[in-house]
Amino acid sequence: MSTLIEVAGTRLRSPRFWQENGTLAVLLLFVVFATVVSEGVFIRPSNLITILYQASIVGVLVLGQSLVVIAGGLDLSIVAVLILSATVMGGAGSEQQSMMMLGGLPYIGLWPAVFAGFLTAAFFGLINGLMVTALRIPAFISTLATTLLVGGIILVVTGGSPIYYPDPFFTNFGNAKLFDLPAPVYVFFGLAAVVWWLLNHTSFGRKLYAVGGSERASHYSGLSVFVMRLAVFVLCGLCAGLAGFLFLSRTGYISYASGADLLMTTIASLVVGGISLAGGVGGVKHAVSGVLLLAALSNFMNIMLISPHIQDAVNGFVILIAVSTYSYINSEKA
Amino acid sequence: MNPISSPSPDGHRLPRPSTAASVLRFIAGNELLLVWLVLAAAASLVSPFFLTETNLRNILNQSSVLGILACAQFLVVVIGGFDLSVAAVLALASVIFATLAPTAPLAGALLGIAAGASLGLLSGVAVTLGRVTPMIATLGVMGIARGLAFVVAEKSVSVPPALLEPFKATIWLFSVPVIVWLVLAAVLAWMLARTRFGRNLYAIGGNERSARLAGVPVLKRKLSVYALSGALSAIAGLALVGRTSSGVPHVGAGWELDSIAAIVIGGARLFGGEGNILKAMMGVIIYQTVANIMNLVSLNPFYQDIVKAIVIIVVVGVSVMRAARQQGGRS
Repeated sequence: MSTLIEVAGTRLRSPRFWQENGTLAVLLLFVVFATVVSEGVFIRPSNLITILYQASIVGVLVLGQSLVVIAGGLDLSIVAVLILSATVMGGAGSEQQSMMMLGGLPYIGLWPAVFAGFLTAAFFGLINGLMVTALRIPAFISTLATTLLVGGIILVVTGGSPIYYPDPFFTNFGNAKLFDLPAPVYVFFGLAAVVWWLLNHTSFGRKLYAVGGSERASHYSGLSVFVMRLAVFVLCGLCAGLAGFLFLSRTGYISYASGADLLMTTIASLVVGGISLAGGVGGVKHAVSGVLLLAALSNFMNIMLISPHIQDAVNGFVILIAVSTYSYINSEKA
Repeated sequence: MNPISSPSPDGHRLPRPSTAASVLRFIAGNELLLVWLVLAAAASLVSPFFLTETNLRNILNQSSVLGILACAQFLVVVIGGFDLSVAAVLALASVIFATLAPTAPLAGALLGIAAGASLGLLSGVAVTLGRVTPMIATLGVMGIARGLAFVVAEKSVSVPPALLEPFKATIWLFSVPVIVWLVLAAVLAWMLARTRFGRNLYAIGGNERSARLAGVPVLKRKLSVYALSGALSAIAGLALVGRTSSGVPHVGAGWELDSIAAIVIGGARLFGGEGNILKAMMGVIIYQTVANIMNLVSLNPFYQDIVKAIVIIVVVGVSVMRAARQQGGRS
């Protein structure tokens, strides 16, 4: 018995343990705290389902972003790409909507439009990847420039008016439920499983950590850093496309100004989960626990009727505190 | 006097540039002027309105707010960082000032600047003591500033025009915000070139480790630079209120990128240690002239964003490649 406690004690003192499980521990503590403060409202099954539902879009974005970040990059254009691909899916996939659009997206049928939406997302992922690898522009500048570019394209395509009437398929999908859980939640966890498999059970995943850990070492050990980088940006673009699909399904609406807070939430989720923005560190467990913690925090603030604008500020603080804490833990380890 | 053979007691004063070097620098400065003249000539061919006094005043007015932001950004870039919070801090200061202007304009202005400086200091603390990379730290502060701006004012706050009379005065081409911008830029140029503080910043940006070993108080300097950047961004917010008569919580999305692009056009090195702030200001004017020309030929504003994105990619791409080539040549 005493040895068990000793073993537990050493594990709890090891920085590695906290790096792996710190966020989960904080999440559990937070759930207890929120339940007590909200007098039980927080822990109701209907509320927990709401949290998962709200987390699903951010979750898909974070999973895509985590691939880029593990490989040592960062993609700030995901929200713009999300909007553009949702615009393509909603605009070109609905005859009514496409006739109403000032800018002009031809009606091409629902499934071709969904395909075109994903293709668009992958294309801008490729553009990001090429700027970062071939032109060697720092990732955050090139992807911010892509944000501007894509934002302009959205305005040109839509003429500035939002998408109100996507094909009913989208909202039907968003409201579909299996065992009380909405379909987007399954998409999120399904993608998490795929990314987990990719990172832990394929050579692609192992190489990704190598590239993020040391680009030069990877290059000299014969890994094609160029191809890896390109691939993660394309995958991240595709995830943004998928998130666009989910966004349209959940709201039946998309506009140029949609999802303004998504980028901050995404980055906050990543760093809170303990994925180092320096690259080479982190996994699906980190990504998912970060997403859930931030979703729980935001839901709790909603229950307590705290203004959404304060929530932006809180996300900012959370980023600063989380990154500082992890850099402290990591320096302890060294 | 050879500064290497006769180290001064403080040990980290850089040599004064020689006459030849300053002549060379003057020519290099004119290179940007040349670019502007070519742009201006092309623009006058396309639109007879370009070279009118009204339009030139417009360009300067439009440059003033971005110019002050670029001053803030320049200081941070010189020490090898980035400040993505400049535009959000500008928005926060603009709403603080606009909200308080009818009752206590001076207090509003000071409070705005103090808020900017504190948020800048917060970035600085996160970067130095928290060991957060500048980009993420200032991204976090960007969220905080933007959130606070919306807390102060949910929607745009307009200021009674009578209160802003003093801002509306102009001397020939120069309005008050433009004068504020030019004075700030001149003071910073003097500070960067002639004071120990300024030279320290270049040393930190060039090689932080060497700077620390040479006795530069890196921590203190970094904190001051980020605080200064916040305060300058806030001043840009006040200038914006002076120009547009309203404080807007959502104003300036993307301006942080504009400020980086403008100073890179002006020849600042993206990874620190090099650059001339006056040239960076010339970069701002060139950047705004391009925007102005797009307006004059009435290019669809939706396309203007696309053109801007392409300009940023090309300019920053060229700068990065040049930096890479320089490093390749040295090693």
